[in-house]
Amino acid sequence: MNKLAVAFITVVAVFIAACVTINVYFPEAAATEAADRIIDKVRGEEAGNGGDTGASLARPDADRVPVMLALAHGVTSFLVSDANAQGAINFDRPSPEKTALENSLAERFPQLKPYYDSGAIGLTDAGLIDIRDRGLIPLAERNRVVQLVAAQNNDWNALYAEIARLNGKPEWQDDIRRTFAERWIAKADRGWWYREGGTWKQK
Amino acid sequence: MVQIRPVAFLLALLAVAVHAADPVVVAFRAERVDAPDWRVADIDATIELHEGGQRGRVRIGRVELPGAELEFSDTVIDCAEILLSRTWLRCHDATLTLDFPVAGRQTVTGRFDYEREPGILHFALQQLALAGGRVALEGRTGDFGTELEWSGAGLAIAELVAIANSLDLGPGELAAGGSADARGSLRTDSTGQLALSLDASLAEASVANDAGTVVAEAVTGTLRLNAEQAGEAWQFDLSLAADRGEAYVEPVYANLAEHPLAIELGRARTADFARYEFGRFALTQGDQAELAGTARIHLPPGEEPLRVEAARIEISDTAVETLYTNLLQIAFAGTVLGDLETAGRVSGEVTIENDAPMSADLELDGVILDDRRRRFAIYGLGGSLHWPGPAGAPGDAPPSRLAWDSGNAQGILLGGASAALALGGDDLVLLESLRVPTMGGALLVNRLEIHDYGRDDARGLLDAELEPVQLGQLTGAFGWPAFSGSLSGRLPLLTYEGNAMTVGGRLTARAFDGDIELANLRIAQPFGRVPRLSGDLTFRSLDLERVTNTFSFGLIQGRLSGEVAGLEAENWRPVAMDARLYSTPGDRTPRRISQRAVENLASVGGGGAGAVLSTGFLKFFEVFAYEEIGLRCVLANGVCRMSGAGPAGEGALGRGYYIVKGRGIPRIDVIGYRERVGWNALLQQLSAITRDSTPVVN
Repeated sequence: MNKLAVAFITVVAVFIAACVTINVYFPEAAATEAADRIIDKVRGEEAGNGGDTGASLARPDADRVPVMLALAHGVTSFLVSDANAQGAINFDRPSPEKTALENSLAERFPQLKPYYDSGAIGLTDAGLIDIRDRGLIPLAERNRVVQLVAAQNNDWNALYAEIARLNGKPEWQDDIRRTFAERWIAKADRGWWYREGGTWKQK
Repeated sequence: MVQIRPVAFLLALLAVAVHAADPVVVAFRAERVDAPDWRVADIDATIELHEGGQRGRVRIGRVELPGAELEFSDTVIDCAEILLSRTWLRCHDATLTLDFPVAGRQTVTGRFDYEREPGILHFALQQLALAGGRVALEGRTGDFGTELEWSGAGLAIAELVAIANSLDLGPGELAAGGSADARGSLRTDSTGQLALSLDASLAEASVANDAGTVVAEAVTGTLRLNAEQAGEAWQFDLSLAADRGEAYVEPVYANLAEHPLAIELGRARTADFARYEFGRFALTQGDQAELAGTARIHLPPGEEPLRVEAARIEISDTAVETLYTNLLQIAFAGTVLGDLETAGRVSGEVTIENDAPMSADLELDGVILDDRRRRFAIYGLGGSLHWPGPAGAPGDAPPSRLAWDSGNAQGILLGGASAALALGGDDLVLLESLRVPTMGGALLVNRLEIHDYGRDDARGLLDAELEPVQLGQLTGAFGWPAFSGSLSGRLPLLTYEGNAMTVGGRLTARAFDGDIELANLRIAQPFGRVPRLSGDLTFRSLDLERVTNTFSFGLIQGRLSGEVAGLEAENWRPVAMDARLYSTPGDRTPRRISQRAVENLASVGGGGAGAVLSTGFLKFFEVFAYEEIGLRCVLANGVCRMSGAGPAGEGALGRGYYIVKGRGIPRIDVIGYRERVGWNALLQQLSAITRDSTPVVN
């Protein structure tokens, strides 16, 4: 009987813990797709062209939630899971500012594309871009690239802030930024560079 | 081990030998000779005495000069002619094989004189191979130190940089290329402090730091440098003139072939080759820039950009475009000033601290600022600008006086005017009333203040009047047909607060023989990415004949009134409003409508009148009498909810509403059936109607 009770509790606990994972997972996948749509727009590609879009990306801290903690908060999390899902970041919430920023980013992207391709600039894990190797930029173009990168980063930062504002959660900027950083890197062309933890890597 | 004064010994030896009739060979060997400033070991000397004089060969296993931290091994000196007296020894026509510091082991020709008192060695060497070229040098060394003059040709700059670095004289790792012909001098005093001079002509010289933020490429020109050690630091004067190649000091780029560059650095000082202080600098780049002043800069190793810690810069007749594209555009990236075409000249003085401007006194001449996104432009801007720095208040600096020839704002042409302003850190106050001619009238600004510009709590106010302007020019600016009539009004207090502009009064216009009034006008984020306009528009008793003529809609006679309440526009496009147009109540003028107007109205309302009107007996009537016209659009979420001058019963398409309620015989009613119309589709429809003479009927 005791054994049965333990087994039952374990199953329930595992079930609840599993619920926690799902609750954290689901909105992120939706966010991922929404971020992909924005990235596709900026890159001038039609949605769905990316090929590797989808919900394969886990929230970075999802696998780091201690099981015991998940167990302890399992019931609560389960009960508030609906609220979480409703409160998840909605990247598609429209605003004229957001559209203007997306257009401005998309307008500048073709000018930056050759420098992504050459490896002169790359993506960063802060959801921005940076100059990786000035030596790959002809001298006469170098200050224009510096200016384009600064302007593009201004717009990205403004877009992250705008999405957070539209969701009524200014404090979520970092989550939004992280999602975009991951999706940009995931959708980067072969040969593009990205910087993770201070180190440049080539895709 | 032998401990003797070597020169005295040699002299004595040679003094004995000099009287011999036959050639005598004196061989001399010493294990070690010590002098206060030098030590030699393993000396093997052979001196041949003959009638004409002496010649000799000295081989020295090791020479140490501890003062100069130098050591030479296996040195061979061949003297074809040795002359000596009581006070000197001369070795002319010498051949020297030596491990030269920097230049490596090689055999060169030269001569040596040794003055016994006070112990000075004079020397000259030719054809020393150094850095891929040949160098000649001449100098003297003694208790006072060393003095050296040298000249060289075809020296590889990459190797010169490596040499400078090996001597701790350079700014560290630099990629370099090209060659130089150079002459220079080097002097050390008794304490070992160094002084250098260099006069070089550079050919295709290239230098780049690792990060690529400081680069010179294929530069041809001349370089002059005078430098001396002062304790731990270096003081130097440098001048560079170049007329070929390119240079880049992030973010400033210069094409030297297009605009030759001259740089002078005077009373410059650095202790670590990272922080530099320039007691005086001058930079001239063709007719593009002429800057001078004092500066303290930090050029950190790695990717960090150059930092201006403090500077006072006098600007003389410099191209605005050069300053804008190289410096200002990056600072303004993402703002309304981030994408301008510029021209004109500027001069004056600017001070900078920690990369931020601290004051500016500028004279502008013929300046053009033209937004590439066509939001604004100003042409022929001139005058003086005095800005007291970020902490300054209006009045801390002398008044600024600016005048311009013309301009435009959102497509509205503005005429020339002049303004007197007091600038503060982020404040602007208009000192005298300003009259800007525009649209056949003028904007008279009595009062204008902007405070804390660029901050979230920015605020401002404008007290202005609009002297009657031609409506046609205003509407033309928005791409509409030219209205006849004029617009005037008072903007008693336009305030700017919380990033929004609000007009306190009403703008009234007299147009189409009626009145138009704009009230509660507010523009949020007027300089932001998406300006938002809101307001209420009322018009009374417009002459429809003039309106329809203007818009080539097809003739309608009568009077029209209406309201556009709760108008909201984003990026100047309406997104919400409640717009009502109706025949002016109580109007007694004839009310008639033409066939074409009927068709057009019908198409707006979603009906199809074309077929009915062009066939049957109605086609014989050009105009019809009507009782009432009405149209209402409640716009929200991109959809216009339409209604008209009252319900008109059920039709095949649903419930209808009168757009035109007919009268008399033949009576014609225009009844709309479509209740929800996409706003963009409606706009396309309207513009198609007013553009084409053929109506579009859905």
